[in-house]
Amino acid sequence: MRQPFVDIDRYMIRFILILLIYIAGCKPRIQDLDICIREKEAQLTDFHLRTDSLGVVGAFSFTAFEKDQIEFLAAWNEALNAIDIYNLDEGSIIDRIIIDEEGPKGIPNVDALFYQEDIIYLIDAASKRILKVGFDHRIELLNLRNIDFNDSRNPDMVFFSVSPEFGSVPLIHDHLVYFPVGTQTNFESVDYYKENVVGVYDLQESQGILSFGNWDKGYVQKNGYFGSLGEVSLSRFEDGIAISFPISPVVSLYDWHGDKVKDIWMASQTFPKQLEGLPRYNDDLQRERNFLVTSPWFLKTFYHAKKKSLIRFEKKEQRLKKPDQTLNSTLFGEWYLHVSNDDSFFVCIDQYDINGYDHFLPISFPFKDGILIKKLNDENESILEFSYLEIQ
Amino acid sequence: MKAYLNSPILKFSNYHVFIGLLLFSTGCKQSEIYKYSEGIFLYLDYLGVDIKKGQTILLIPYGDCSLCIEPAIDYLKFNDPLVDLVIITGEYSADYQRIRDIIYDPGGRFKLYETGIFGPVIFKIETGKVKGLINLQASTQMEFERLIEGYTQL
Repeated sequence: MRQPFVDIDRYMIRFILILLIYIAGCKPRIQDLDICIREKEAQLTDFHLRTDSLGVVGAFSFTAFEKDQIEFLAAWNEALNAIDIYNLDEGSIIDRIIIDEEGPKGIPNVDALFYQEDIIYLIDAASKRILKVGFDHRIELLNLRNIDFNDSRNPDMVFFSVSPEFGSVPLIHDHLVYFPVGTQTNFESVDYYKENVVGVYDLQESQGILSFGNWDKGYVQKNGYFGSLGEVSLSRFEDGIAISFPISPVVSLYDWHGDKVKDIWMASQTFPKQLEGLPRYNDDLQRERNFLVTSPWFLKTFYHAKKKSLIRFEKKEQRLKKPDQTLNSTLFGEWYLHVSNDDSFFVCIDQYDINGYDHFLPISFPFKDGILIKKLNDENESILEFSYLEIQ
Repeated sequence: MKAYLNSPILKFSNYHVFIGLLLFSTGCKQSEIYKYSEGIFLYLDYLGVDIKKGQTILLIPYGDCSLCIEPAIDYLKFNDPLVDLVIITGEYSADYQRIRDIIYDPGGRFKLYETGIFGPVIFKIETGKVKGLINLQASTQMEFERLIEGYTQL
């Protein structure tokens, strides 16, 4: 005699089993990603930089570099319209180069600095001007209008997308400049995210060469509009360029010719594999600000040459409001610092907990065997205060 | 479905009245009540504003976007708007025509509140709610004048 309820139960059990296997398969498990995460304790020590001006405080525009085995920091001084060059080993300012705001050797606005071989480059993205400033104070202006990167875009559709806090800063390698670029299209439309994000310009030939690098797939999904989190981060690594985005746990490695080498995971274990963003055509800025407070996302990715490591900060989720009903801050909360080493083929991540309440994380850069992170405390006008975190 | 139609609610009330009430409630102008009223009230409370029903407030958020507020600031230098209170959420000091009922927030705590306001706005206080909030985003002083006078002369 047939027992219908037993049959139904059997089918139901099979269905539930299949459903469970499917759900388990959808969740990003750390073993699927072929990486390991090692939790480390952040040991911070104080580092002081003597200064005579607080004009650099709060400016994102700086570049750290090594020359003749001495480590330097060049920072844009907004108050004096000058480049301040610090010897980090001595902890003091060694030079100041005043820059005109107008004229053939001037620049109206400075969005970012980058460095190569005794030359500091200042970029004003809006006017598409770059100023080459030598250590000998010689200045040369480069106009970079209508560069053809030989892709599907008309040159006047391309703009330099410079935003240092997210690492959207040009890189220079040999005679090639790698620009973070965007397209003059409505950034709320999916079309905006179809074009390449890096444009390569040849300084010797004075012309664009090619573009490469895709937006993360998170931006082209149905609810993929992230507003202010729509910046590409460029970082060098040993053999090329690392591209990442504020919403994505993935860092993509490309060689200097623009060919992809591999994708690596640089995020916490719990970071959602594909973040759900704000709806497209979202005109509620409050909602966007709330999203930045409550959701995890990333700042810039940068490279520590001596440690052969890629480094990035990941914001932890936090509550929208404090007990007194005021909003939590987007920046000053709890963060992770991820360090991924080239020697381990970027499969192991050292993960540190960072207290963002006392620090201004966008101003951070490699130094000796670790990184320096700007402190918020600026009460002493003659000292810039940093925390030094040694990478173990 | 059958059980639903036999529910006590429908047994004891006229079906047509029920549908009518449903239509009436959806037809109410709920959209006039501002979504982030609570945040605005918390901020007004922080400023120590004596909140009164029917009060009209012009609020100019000083901070991120200086171009957004410039037309409003220029307007205030030459005009005294027909509102009960003007709030400038920063230390933006200038010679304004208005002397009374103008509040500054030198601490700049406005950004700490969930107000949904990122440019000059005007709104009315009703019982426990903000109603009829209008964005006064303008690119010129004249455009701002048209917007604010269009609101206050209603």
